[in-house]
Amino acid sequence: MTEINRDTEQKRIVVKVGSSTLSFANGRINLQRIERLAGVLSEVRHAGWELILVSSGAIAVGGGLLGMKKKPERLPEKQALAAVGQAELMKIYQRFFEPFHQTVAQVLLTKDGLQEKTKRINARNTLNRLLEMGILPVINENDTVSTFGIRFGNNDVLAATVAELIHAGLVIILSDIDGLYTADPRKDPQARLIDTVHDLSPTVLRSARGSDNTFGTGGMSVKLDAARICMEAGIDMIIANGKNPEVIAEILEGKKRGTLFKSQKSKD
Amino acid sequence: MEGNFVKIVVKVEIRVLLNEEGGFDPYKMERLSMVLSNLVNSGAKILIVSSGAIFLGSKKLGLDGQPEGLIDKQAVAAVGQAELMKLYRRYFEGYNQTVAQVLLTGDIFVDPEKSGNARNTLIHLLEQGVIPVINENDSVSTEDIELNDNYYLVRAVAGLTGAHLLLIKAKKPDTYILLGGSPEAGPRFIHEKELIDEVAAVERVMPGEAFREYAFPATLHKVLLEA
Repeated sequence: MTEINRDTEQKRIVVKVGSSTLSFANGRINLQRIERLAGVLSEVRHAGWELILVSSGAIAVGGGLLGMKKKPERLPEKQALAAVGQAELMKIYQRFFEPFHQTVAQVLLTKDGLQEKTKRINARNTLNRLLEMGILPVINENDTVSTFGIRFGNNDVLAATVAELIHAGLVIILSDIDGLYTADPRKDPQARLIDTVHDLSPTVLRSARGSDNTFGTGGMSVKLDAARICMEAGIDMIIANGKNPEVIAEILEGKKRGTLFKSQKSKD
Repeated sequence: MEGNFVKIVVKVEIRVLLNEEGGFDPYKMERLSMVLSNLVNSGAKILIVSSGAIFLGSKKLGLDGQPEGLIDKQAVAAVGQAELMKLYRRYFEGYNQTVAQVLLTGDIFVDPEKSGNARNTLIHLLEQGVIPVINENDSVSTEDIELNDNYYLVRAVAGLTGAHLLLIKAKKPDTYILLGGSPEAGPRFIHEKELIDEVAAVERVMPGEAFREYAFPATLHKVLLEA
């Protein structure tokens, strides 16, 4: 039995991975985690699902490449590191997908590019064609040209926006927590995992705020922004723990993992 | 920095990098470099003690098998050591790690000045984020050539640097043997997938303890050869 909407026309899924999944606490890239991610994504692809990967990690990889000891704080510094790291990140993905005969393609998007009509259609056409060709698009924000005010600023919202663009049925957001809790599970022993959210009620939003500033870089409030975009577009979204990337396959096999944000319009 | 990082001596014998026909297996080297690079990324400091100079030298010179005489072995090792470093550099570069060659002789055991120099060099490399790849300086030294393994060297390096753990690449694919972490901890087989968690979970890291306890008795040696 499954509650997720697996019966979409296209069997399209957007998977978003963040730095918490791709790197160690010290910010350096976790190669073996990426290898496992590549393994499970290839398996899922070969099982017939159409996949798009939205991946952060460019800044972390860039920092490692340049031997930086500290995480950058200022935006220009981050943008420079992202430019260095994005190429290296793609090299890492290529390397780990290659044994599975899975071709990857880099697609860098900007917020204004997804708002303006012509660019939006171009982006959609490109992504559709890549999927037809059996290629896995790896999407990131084009950090080098995206500055304050015109950037998504986080890949959760980018993933939701891409899902909407290509009419995906499901977005899986891998994080460093198991999902949305009723309170901060590190501070409150009564905190429990919410398995399904049907609407973003004030209670749900309060839970998210309570667990914010504690985990990850994106924070739970940002993930709920992404959930809102998905739910309004008729797309289900799941937040799950990326420590074991195999959770992606388990979700698609119909197992209950993480927190499901059930869209109103999707079929049950 | 000495107290801040887990220092691990990694022993690699060339035989664990060979295929069934006895030739160098690039796939095995690739996996080794990926897993060890990731260990470094996780925050550990590693020092690799690697054999292979005589094997690679013999291949390079097109010799049929390996030389028997000591002088022949030393000459072949001089050729092969450069080949060995080329391999380490090529594979670890792929994961953005810098390696450095350090060749030591048996007198570092007894000469305090030499041991001090060796120690300073190794610690400095670790602080710079470089992975030292250590071998015996076979061209001028004969201790381990004669014993045909690097156990003396492993112990010397562990002692000099105050290493906490000893990690040995097993012949079995994707498998390592971990020693140390506590005085009671005997050698344990670990799948490469579990390696980082296992190292992170070490409760008491006691410099040198693993090496005092397990001074590579014959029984352990046998376990390792079968591994």
